[in-house]
Amino acid sequence: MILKNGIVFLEDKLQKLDIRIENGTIVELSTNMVGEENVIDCSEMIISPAFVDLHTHLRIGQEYKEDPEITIKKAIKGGYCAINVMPNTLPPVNSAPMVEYVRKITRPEGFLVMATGAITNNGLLAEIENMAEAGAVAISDDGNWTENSFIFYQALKYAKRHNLLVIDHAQDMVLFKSGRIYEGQVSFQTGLKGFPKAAEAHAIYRDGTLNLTVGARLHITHLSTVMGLDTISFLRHLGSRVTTDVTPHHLLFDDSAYLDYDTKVKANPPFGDDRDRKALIHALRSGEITAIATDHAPHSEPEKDQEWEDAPYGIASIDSAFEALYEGLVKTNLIPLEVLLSALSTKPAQILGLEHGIQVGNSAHLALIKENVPHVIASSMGAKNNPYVGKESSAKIAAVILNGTVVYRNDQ
Amino acid sequence: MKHLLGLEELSRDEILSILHLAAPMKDIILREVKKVPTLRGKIIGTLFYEPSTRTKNSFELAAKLLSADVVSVSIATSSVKKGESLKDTVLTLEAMGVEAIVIRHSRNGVPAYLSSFSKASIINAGDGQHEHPSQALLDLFTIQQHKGHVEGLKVLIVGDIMHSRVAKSNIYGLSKLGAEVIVSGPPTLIPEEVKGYARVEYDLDKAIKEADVVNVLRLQLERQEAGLITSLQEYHRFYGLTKERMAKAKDDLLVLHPGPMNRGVEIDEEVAYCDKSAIQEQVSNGVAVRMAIYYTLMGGREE
Repeated sequence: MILKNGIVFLEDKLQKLDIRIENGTIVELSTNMVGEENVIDCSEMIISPAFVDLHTHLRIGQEYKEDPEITIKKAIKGGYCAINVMPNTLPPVNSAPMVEYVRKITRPEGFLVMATGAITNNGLLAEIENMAEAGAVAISDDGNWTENSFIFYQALKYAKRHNLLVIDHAQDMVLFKSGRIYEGQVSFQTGLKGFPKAAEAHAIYRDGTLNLTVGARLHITHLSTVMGLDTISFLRHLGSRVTTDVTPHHLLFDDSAYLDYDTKVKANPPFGDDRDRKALIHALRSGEITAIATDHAPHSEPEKDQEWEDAPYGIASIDSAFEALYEGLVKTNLIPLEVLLSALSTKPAQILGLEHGIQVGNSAHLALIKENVPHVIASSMGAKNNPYVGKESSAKIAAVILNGTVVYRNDQ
Repeated sequence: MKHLLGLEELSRDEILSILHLAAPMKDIILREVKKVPTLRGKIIGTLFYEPSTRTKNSFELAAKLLSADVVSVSIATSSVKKGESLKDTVLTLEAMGVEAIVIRHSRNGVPAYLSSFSKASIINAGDGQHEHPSQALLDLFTIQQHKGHVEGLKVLIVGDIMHSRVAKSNIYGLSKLGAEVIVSGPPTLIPEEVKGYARVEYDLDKAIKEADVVNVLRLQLERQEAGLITSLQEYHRFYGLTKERMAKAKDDLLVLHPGPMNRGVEIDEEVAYCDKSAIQEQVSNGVAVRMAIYYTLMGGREE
C-alpha cells in the first residue's frame, strides 16, 4: 500500500512524503513514489503516528459506565493505536491474571492494550514482580496517591528491578479529602470546599526525592498546577529523571468551569486557575511536559446527572481529545501542530518504552488528519461525560491505520 | 425573576425591590387577621435535606400568610444515594402542581442543579457553603428598618466566614447596596478570597469600635475536631461578642445573629438580649422577607 502526497510527521517535522507499507510495516519513505498496488491519495492530509494514551480507564467490571469494547472503538475514532489501562478496575489489576486479562481484552487486530498494575493492595505491596512477568508495563495507584512513603519507596525498587514505569497520581490525600476543588476564587464563590494546590507539589516532591536514590522511571500524571511544575523542575535540577503528562482538560479549562456546577467537567485533579492553565500550555510548548494523556474516565448518565458534589470525578474524551486540543491550542497559535502531534504519539510511546513513529521498519500505525474541515464535535457511543461534544473544531481524524490496514474512516 | 439562587447574581435593584416589598408584608404580620389571598390556589413545596427549624417554619408560615398551600418534604440527611431520588422528588412535586420549591441542601449548587431541569421556581434556603439568600435579605431588611438605609454603613461580620453561606450572601448583598463590609474571625476560618469583597480585621476589639452593625455568625462546634480552631474558650476570648467588647462599640450599634446561638461561645447571653440586639426581630422580619420573595417570584405571573 502506498500513502501518496501526504504531509508526514517525521522526526518532529511535517514534510511532504509518500509512505510504502508492506505486511503491516513501513518499508519506504520517499517522494514521488510509484506503484500500481493500492495507492491512497493523501493530498492535504497530515499523516501522524497514531496516538498512544498513557492513561485510560477501561471499565472492566463496571461495563454500565462504558463497555471496554466501546472505549477501544472510541480510542480508534480519536486516532489512537494504543492505550495504557489504569488498574482501578473491578476487580483491580493487582495480580498476574488480571494483567493478562487486560492485555488480551477483545480489540481489533493491531490495537495495543497495555496493563498497569496496582502498587498496593489493601495498603501493602501488590505482587509487582508477578505482574511484571505477566507483561505489565507500569505500576500505579491511580485515583489515589500511595500514602505510605515506606511502601512507595519499596515499590520504586521493584519498578526499577523490572524496568516498570511508575505512574504517580501525585496528590496528598488528606488535603484532597478536605476539599472538592482547588482553593481559590472559584471555591469561594461556589462554596465547593477548596484544598490547597500544594497537595500536588508536595506529593511530587516526596516521590521525586525518594526516587533520587532508586532511579526508577517515575512519571507524574495529570499535572495540574504551577507549583507542581516548579517542583518537577526542581527535582530535575537535583538530577531526578522524571517524566510527566497533562490531560486535554487541564490544558483547555480552568476552574471558572465550575461556576455553574456542570458535572461533566468535574475531574480530579481539579482544574487550576487561568495562571495554572497558561503555565501548563507553556510547559508543553517548551518541552517540560512532553506528553498529553486523556485520563479517559467514563461514567453513566445517572451518575453524572445529580448534585455536583455527589457526581463522580472523570471526563471521557478519548474520541475527541485531538479535535478539542487542535481547536483550543493549535488554531489559537498557543501550541504548534508538531508539538501537539508528538505529545499525543511519539512522546508518550517513548515514556512507555514503545518503538513507535513513522520510520522504516516500524509497524504502520497511523492517524490521518484533515485540517480546515469545520464541524461540530460529536460522540455517538458509550459514556456521555464529554465536555467537548457540541463544540466546534476545524480538524478531524479522517482515518486510522493499524498494522497497515485502514480500520477507521471518517469521510464526512 | 424566576428563581432565587443567590444574591451574587441579583442586581442592586432586584434586591431593593424585594426589601421594598417586605415592608408591607411586615404590616400583614402585625395585623390582627394575618392573612391575604395573594397566592390562593398556588402550591409551594419545601424540601429540606438539612435540619432546620426557623428557616423551614419561616418559609412555610410566609406561604400560608399569602394563602398558598404548602407541601412539606423533610428528609434527614442520610447515607442513602441521594442523586436520583432528589431529581425524582422534585419531578414528583412538580407533578403535584407545585409552582415553587424551597430547597435546603448540604450540597453546594443543588438549587442551581434543580433550576436546570425543573419548571418550578427554585428558592435557595441554603446550599452547602454557597449561599443563603433569604437570610441575607432579612438581615438587610432589618438593617434598613433600624438605620433607614444600608448604603455607607460599616457592617462587621464575625466568625466562621469560610464555611458560612450566611456570610457570603450578606457580603454580596451588603456590597451591592453600598455598605462597607469588615470581617473578623480566626485566620483558619477567613478565606483569602474574601479580601476581594471585604476588609479583614482579625482584631475584634479594633473592628467593633467602627462598626454600625455587627452580624455574629454561629460557630459550628465541629470546627474544633476538624483542626480549625483551638478551643471554644480561646474562640470566645478572641472572637466572642462579649459585654466587655460591647462597651467599646458605638452607642447605636445594631447586633444581628442568624441563630441558633451558642451562648457563651460567639455571643454572650447579656449581649444577645440587650437593647442593641435585633435578634428576635430578625425572626419576624424573616417571615416578611420570605413573603416578599414569594410575591416577587410567583405573584407577577398571575397578572
